[in-house]
Amino acid sequence: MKKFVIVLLLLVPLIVLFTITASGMIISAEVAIAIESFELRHLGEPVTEVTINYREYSSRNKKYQLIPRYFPGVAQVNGFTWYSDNDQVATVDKNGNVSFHNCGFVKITAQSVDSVSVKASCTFYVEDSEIHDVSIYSYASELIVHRIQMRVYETEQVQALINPYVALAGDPAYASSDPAVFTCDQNGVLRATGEGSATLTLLARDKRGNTKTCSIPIEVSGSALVKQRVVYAYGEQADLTPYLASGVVVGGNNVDLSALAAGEQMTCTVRSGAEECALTLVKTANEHMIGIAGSEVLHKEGWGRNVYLAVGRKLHLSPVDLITYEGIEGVQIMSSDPNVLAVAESAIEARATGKATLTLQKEGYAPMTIEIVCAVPASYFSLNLDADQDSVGLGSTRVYGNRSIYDGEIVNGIRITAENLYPLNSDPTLFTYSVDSEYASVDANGLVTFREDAVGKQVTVTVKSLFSINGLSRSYTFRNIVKGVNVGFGLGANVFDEKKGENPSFAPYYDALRVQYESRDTALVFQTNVYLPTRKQMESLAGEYQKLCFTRDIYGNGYKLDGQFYQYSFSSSLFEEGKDSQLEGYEEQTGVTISDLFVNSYAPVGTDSKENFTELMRVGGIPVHLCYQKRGDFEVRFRYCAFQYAYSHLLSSGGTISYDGCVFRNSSGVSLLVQSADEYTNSVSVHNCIFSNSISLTGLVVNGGFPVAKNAPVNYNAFSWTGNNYIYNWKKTEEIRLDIIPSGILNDKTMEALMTMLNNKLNECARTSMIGDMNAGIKYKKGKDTYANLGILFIDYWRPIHFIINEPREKTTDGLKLEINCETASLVPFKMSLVSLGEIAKRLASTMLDLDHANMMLTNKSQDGSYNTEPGESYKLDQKTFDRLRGEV
Amino acid sequence: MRSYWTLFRLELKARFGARGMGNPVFTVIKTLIFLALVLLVYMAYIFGVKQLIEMFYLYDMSTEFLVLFIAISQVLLVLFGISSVIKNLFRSGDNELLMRFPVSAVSVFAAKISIFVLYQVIFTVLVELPVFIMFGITTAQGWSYYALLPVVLVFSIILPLAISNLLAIPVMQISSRTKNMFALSLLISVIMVAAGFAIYMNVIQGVVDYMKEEAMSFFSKKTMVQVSKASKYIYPSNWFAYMLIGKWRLGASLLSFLVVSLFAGGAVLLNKKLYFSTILRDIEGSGATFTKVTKNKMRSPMWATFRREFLDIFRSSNYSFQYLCMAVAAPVMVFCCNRLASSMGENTIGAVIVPALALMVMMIFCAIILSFAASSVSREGENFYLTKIVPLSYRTQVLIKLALYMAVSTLSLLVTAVLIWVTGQIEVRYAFEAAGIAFLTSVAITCFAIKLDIKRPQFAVGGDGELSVGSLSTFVTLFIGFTVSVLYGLFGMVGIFLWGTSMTFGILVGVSGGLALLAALWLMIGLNKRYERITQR
Repeated sequence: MKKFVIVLLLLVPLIVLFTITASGMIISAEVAIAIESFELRHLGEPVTEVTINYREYSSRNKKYQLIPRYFPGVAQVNGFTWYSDNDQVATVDKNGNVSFHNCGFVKITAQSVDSVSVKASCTFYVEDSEIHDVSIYSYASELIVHRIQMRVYETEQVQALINPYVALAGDPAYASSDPAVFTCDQNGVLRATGEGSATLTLLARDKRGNTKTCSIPIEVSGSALVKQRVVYAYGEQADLTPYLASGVVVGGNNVDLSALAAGEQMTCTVRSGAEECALTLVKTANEHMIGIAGSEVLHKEGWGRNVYLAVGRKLHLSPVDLITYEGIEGVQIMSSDPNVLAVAESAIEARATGKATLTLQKEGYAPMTIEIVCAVPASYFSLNLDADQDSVGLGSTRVYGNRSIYDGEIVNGIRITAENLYPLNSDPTLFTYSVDSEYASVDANGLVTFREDAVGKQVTVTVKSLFSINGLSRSYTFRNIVKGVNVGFGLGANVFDEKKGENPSFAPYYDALRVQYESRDTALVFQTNVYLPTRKQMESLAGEYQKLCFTRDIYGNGYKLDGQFYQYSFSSSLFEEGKDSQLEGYEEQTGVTISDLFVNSYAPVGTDSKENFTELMRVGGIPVHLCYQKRGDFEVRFRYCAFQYAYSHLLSSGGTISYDGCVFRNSSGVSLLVQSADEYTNSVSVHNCIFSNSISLTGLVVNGGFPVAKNAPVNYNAFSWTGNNYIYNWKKTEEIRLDIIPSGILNDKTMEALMTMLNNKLNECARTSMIGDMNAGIKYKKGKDTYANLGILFIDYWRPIHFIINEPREKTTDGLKLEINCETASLVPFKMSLVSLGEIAKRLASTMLDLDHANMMLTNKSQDGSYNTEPGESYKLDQKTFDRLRGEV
Repeated sequence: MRSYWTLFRLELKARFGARGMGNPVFTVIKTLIFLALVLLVYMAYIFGVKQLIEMFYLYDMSTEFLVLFIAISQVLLVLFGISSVIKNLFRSGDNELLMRFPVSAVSVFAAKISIFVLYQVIFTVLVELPVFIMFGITTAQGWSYYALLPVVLVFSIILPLAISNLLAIPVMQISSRTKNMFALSLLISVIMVAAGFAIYMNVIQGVVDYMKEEAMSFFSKKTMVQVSKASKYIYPSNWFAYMLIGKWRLGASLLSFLVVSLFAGGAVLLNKKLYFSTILRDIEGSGATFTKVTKNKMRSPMWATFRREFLDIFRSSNYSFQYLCMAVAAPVMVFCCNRLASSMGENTIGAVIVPALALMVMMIFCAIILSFAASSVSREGENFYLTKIVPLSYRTQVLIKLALYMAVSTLSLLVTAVLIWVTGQIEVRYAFEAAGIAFLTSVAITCFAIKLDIKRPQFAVGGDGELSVGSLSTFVTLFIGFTVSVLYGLFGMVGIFLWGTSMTFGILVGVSGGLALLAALWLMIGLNKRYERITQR
């Protein structure tokens, strides 16, 4: 028995783990929760950039496994698709195992199958102690070259591209096969000496003692006009004849230097026939000055004004007399800081980052002094703006405002910065920035400033790593620029993870309020998730701008406006209630557009339980409440927005509101409420939208208010249901709920109890109404069960509805104007059985509702009786859904 | 030589031959269930070790893994070896008989040690060999690794065997002195079970974390460095490992051979010299268990029965392990298991389900502890007739047993609840609510178990009168207990997610209360009649 007990003890954890897995499966089947974000992990640690030793992996056929850890942890995840941006360096399989094939840089990206805009990446810097390949890079063409064409007297500098550079031991060696055609020094400076063809050979030795070579042909034909591009002269006159190969200097070969001070320079034009070239003439202070041969081509390497030298790089110096350009022997070369800049024989080498002064001196010559900055240039980097992350939200388009708010200050433009620098100690300032368009400019720090008329234009910014070993540059194109302020740059996704005890930053919310307060005619563009602070924090805020209003366009870029910290009562809303008073000063504005925003009213996604839905029913709030009385024409357009976790997603009492390509999911009450008061016009249009998982109805449309004035004219709603709308609100008939009278809206406890009772009775009646032959048009049989897809209920609440279906309406007092796409939707009668209502409830109901005749329900039942959704069917935020939302089915 | 074979056959028969006792169908079922469970554990072991090998390989600690694995195997073999040597060689029930037979001590020793070697071979082939092969495949070892594997396996059998033999005699002497120190024995058992379980949980946690994120969770980075350093000094396991992987192969092989030869030679010499005399001394001294004379005390019949019931369990190493040791170690085991379950549960479902997990783990351990109640009558053994003449009704006697079981399990549950609350695993409210539900279910399981035993007792009348093998009632109780625990766990986790903790626990309290009431009624109604019908065959 002892042994048996021991075996059981060993089995206990397995049983526990099995039970947890089984529970997880049951729960997942019960509640569908979508993935919001994820990070890539390796060996339990999050990774975004990794340096890999190629040999370690290739010798053991080892793979690097990336494991996505997603948020929320209970999300239903059907997998990830993986891809590499450089298959020659690394590939990745469907399980996230990365195989390395060569040295270099590669970005591996994983994308959620369930939501195509949820992605994460990791950049690999693959190194080795062995050189894999070498190639020759031309500074002139800024490309890897396989042949070079030159003219006699021309010079050009090339650079060895070593992959991987860290494997290089010593200096790469350059050699010319025929010095009569071209010569080449150890800095890679080629000088064409005569016509013909010869081979340039580059030889590099790695740390393992192996050598790699690369040879390219150099073809020299014809002659340049000048023998050298820069001429140094002393005195008042300079004869340029010795420097000319052909042609003459415009204005004469003898140039007057008297107007120049020592150290100043002038440009002369040399002409031969139709050909011209520039020759720079520099006046020297002394007759004998020390210079460095080839320095004019070395400018590109970092000499001249940009006195940078990459750490680890070596330069061979050939001191010359600048005037005669003859070599000088015995020049003393000194460095002010040998730890930074070391001098060895006639070469200097940058040993560490820092500054050092280099002095070349010899008696009888004016010394040459130059300050050199030794820095590590980046050979790999990415930009903070990534085109790969531009397919965001339901609209799959990223939008940028032409201004941004950084650290609470609104600045003109957007900062573009280099990130993920490699090597890790790279100098973040060694970058140049340029734009390809007249609509924008960029400064030396990467601040891109847009002109007023840049809205709607494309602007491409190119960032180049200075002095890098591979001349890497990256570009980013702003495709959708709007007049607005970007909020939330630099905060990543700003994820709230309750489980880990991590709170989000509220800064974006305060920034958004600041933009709303300071800038009247500008849009808000979210570049991160925006969370409302707690109620206490909100109430401590002074001023009247505590919530976002519908007075400007809002571009969500697929991020959330999350009110989980704030929503605390049924009547609370995430946005400021849309009222006429807000529009004072906006008389010219006819409406606003809210695009690509996830409106998250209350509950954290991670606890998507029925308990929370019950909580939502009590305190979930209605994030959007519109009640424009005088400005009924003011239109609030929601485009590609997703609404989730609310009691109801929207209550419209007056105004014009349109939904195009939106998703409404997870509401604990009626998803959409259209309830106009008698005197206000109220128009709602729904186009290509998806509705899912509403505990009660998808929508409720009623007219009129309480108390009802006798014979008062009623302004009826207008409701439009066009395109292809999808309702995933299937309920077993014995489980349906209407919840047409929400609880928590009255202060009177007795009335509240009565209303709750009435509501429950009506729910019971609705279920009874599904028994037998009643409401056959709504019922749908699948298997043993009977279902109903609860759509938009038009009910005579306070006032009878007079339908005007797909017909023009002369006046708003004529009745409810309903426009529907009859091919994909139907208006079906819904009759309530009042048997189980009871006398008291019946009397109470009759004061506001007319239940004696059939009310109408709008649902996605097509003319042939079929539906475009099925009971039990769900959808993902994948391409198919995106196509549906765009009406591209 | 002939006498050796005869003795060897005798040993085999004694261990594996048909006993001719009990219900053969039940014996077969029991054996099959046991084998199935062992197979399950074995599969889990192979799977877990494979993950560990991959994990150590990924962290460049393959050699360290091999050294640690060999060392742990050797230590385990030595520990089990000492116990087996004492039990089978020195304190075997037939020693007294065999000494009177015309067989030499060497033949007796050889026959008995052969069985022991057979066990070692089976252990080595089943437990060590697959690991060595998996290691070889994972780390892409060459032919020399596989060629030397049999040598290392032989060394792995001989060395622990030799060490066990060397240590058995001193350990025997210590155990003779501590034979009557029941509390100490219990304490040692509790520490070993709790520590063993904690280590096991850590290993499982490590495997789970590795499978989830390839994370090395049971070694910190600092520990990894220390393990790496320490593994160089774990002799002779490191030599065995070096031999296999070809690191300093010749030196490692020679040293390994030397060490194994030295210990084997020592063991042979020692046994040759002391085996016979040790057996003789042990047989002569075995009757002197209780030497202290205690006074008779007058106690009430109820208290005396309660005390006797407790002492019966306390003074039996088997019962004490099955019941008291489990009950005392349960809080630590629940804590460790809950920690693993919580981390896994939080990551897969969410922190919200932790109370249900804690409840399930508590109930599983309660089921193990309370399965003991299914032998409450059977354990009376040949003294059963006394229960029919003591001045207490059957009902009272059963209630006294029930009270003892419930007292121990309640105490265990309370300590568990406090522990998981104090360590922050769950909120105080949920800790005690879970303990409450587990208590109610325990009442049901205990009543059910006692009833089963009353219906079909199985008295042990031979040997030392202890019921060392499980009865059908025990297995049924365990099965029911585990099933209920898992169902509660499933319902709890899903329920908490769907309806919240309060409602779910509320339902479980109701169900458990109902079960407890039903089980109590089932036990009590007609108890006297049923008890009266029990006869000792």
